[in-house]
Amino acid sequence: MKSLAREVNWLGKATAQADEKALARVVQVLDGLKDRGAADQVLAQARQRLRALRPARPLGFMRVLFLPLDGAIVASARWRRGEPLVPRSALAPLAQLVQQRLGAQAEQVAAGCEGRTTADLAGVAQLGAMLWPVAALALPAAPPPAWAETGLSAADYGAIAGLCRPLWEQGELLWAAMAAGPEGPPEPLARAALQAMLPAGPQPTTAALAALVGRAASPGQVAMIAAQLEPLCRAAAQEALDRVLDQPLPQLDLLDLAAATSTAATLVARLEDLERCSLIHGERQRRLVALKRTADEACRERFLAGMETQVMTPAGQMMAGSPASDTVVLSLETGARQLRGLELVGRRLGSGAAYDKAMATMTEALVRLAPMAGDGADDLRRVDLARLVEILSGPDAAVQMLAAGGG
Amino acid sequence: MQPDITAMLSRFAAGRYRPVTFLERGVAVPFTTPHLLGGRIRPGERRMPELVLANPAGAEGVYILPWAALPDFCPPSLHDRAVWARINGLQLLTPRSVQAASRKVAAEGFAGREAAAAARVATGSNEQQRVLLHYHLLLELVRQAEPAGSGLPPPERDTPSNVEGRARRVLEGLRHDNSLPPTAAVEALEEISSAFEGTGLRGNPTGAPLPLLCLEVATVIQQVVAWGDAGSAEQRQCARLLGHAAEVTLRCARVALANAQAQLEDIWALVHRWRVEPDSVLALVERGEWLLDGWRQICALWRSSPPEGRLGAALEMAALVPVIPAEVGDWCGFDATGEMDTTRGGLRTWRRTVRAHQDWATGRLMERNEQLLALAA
Repeated sequence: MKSLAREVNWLGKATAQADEKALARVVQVLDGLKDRGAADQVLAQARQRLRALRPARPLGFMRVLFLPLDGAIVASARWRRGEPLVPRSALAPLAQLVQQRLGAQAEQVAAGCEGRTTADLAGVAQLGAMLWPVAALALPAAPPPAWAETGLSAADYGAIAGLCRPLWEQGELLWAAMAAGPEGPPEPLARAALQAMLPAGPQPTTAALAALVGRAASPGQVAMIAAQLEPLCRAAAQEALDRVLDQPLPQLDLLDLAAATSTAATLVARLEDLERCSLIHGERQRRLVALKRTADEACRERFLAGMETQVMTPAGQMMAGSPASDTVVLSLETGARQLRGLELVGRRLGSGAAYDKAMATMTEALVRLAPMAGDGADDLRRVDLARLVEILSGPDAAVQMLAAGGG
Repeated sequence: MQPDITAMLSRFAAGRYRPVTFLERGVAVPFTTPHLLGGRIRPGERRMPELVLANPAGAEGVYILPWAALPDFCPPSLHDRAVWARINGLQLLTPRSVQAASRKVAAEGFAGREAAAAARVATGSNEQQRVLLHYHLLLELVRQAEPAGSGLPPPERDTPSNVEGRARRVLEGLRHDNSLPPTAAVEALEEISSAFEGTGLRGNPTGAPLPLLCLEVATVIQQVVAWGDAGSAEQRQCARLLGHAAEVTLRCARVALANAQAQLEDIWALVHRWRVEPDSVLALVERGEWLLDGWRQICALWRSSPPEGRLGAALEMAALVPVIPAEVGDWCGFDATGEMDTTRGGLRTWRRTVRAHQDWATGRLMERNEQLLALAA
């Protein structure tokens, strides 16, 4: 058993450090297992990254059921009594209980999940509308016999069930706002969801706010909406912001350039939104500045690494004789465009001069390659280099390069 | 679009833009710089070329700038600078001459490898088209003028070398006076093949590009209308207007192509006319090219747009629909200019009601425009 635990631990660590494609493959394999058992622990160490990347996961009864509680679910070890959280160990027994009590209705939902993933937002809304309201009514007052296996007390069941019920009752409104997270969410959706939670009390409202903020492109704006709803919500809003500020940044170095660029763009938009949030001042303001600095460094490092791997090294190899087929040159240009995209995003974090310098270095290096360019079908030609310079530094630099070489 | 460009453009606003001739409308140039998309070149005063920009980068109106001022207006892409320079040296501005010059630039790789490959394929296919058309003209000549009862098989069943020999004999036989020796007539036929390369013959047995473009416009517009019918009232309105613009253009194009192809019904007479007044033959042949000039890009915009980008594509297509100049009224048999003006007015109103979701500053749009170039080569 010890060796199995060691292996699971090792696999977990490797998964947490894998690039996003490998991570997606691991997730796909594990999601495909009927019973993940100990293998579930493999994902435990990568949960932070999964939260940030949000790869599409296959829908299942349990996953749909707990989507409205997305911001409240924590590893069992991190769960504390009295906090508006649900330990991961409670999910399976609760789902089983709801499934048993709903019978045919649950089967219908489970069947509806077939072939769908979490990326199907409308599908989740449709299945959720069938499930969440009835699930809220289905939870009994007393814990099921299997509850003992969770290691939680009967009293804990009451508290956890008490948190789940209102979030399921308002699941449809909440999901409408969560699904629209990449667009803000729009103020009316966020307000409607939070307003609906207020009668349930501070804990469910806090959990709903956490779910919204976790997916929001504008977490500061969502927190402001919550704070304005009722004086009591102000603390919940600040707590939600604390969680956002405590969240580790996405590991851009483990993402390919396209994914790094889009992740960085989302991150920068979130940070800019937090800068506009009047709830952030004093200590939180300092944390935000530090977060922005770290994000800036991560972007610059990813940019420099991408510059080397996506452009300079392959261009150098092609000049040394590696065939520059149309596909290879297209991929070189794609890399250059992605770098340009990352640069545009990165500049918003404040290091414009650093990007200017890096771009100038890269352009100079490409210009230096120009005299060695061939003109065969499989050569990296002068015009290919000029196009790279154009993508990276603009047409004027490209024209200068061609003019210098009489092109 | 950037405010400084808007201010700069306002000095060149053309006000009521009502070109009377195709030449005044200008020839579409396949620019890749987002601000220049849909730009046209036309000869201006003292034959200095001008750049005509209709609704550049979403800005409403038509702007006419000196061609030489293009780089001051916005930084053109590497490809557009090369096209700008190459077209500047053209003696004759026609859709065909501009297309040939632009293809040469694209084939050199200024718009990327994909556009280069597409330009080379298109140039090669034009050459094939010319050869094929020349052969079909010989077949036609034999069919039209070989004395009956020769006992020879129908020319389409004969070998190409026999057909060429039979055509020469026909030309010898037709030479009643001393005006046109067969060698000169064969040369004239080669030139005619080149002139008719776009329009081809009736029924398009050679797969000439303009009749194919008519089919492409019809297919794309059918898709646009289907998209409109399945969507909002706003979508439907736009799709119908685009559909009507295409319909008016295609009606004129069909007349133009039929008139051009009708000249081939008597090849011997055409050869004579070609020797005496080639411009009048060309004027008829080029009508189709002028009419459809710009529509290749409009179709490529639709073809290159993903399903979620259809509205954005329709918005750009609406901005590029070309005016039909008044000269068309002389030969098309209906008020095409008036109908197109009304449709373009509707499209203008519609464009004001929707927002463009385009980021003019990023390289993504340039990349898309390079794909258009490859699609419309």
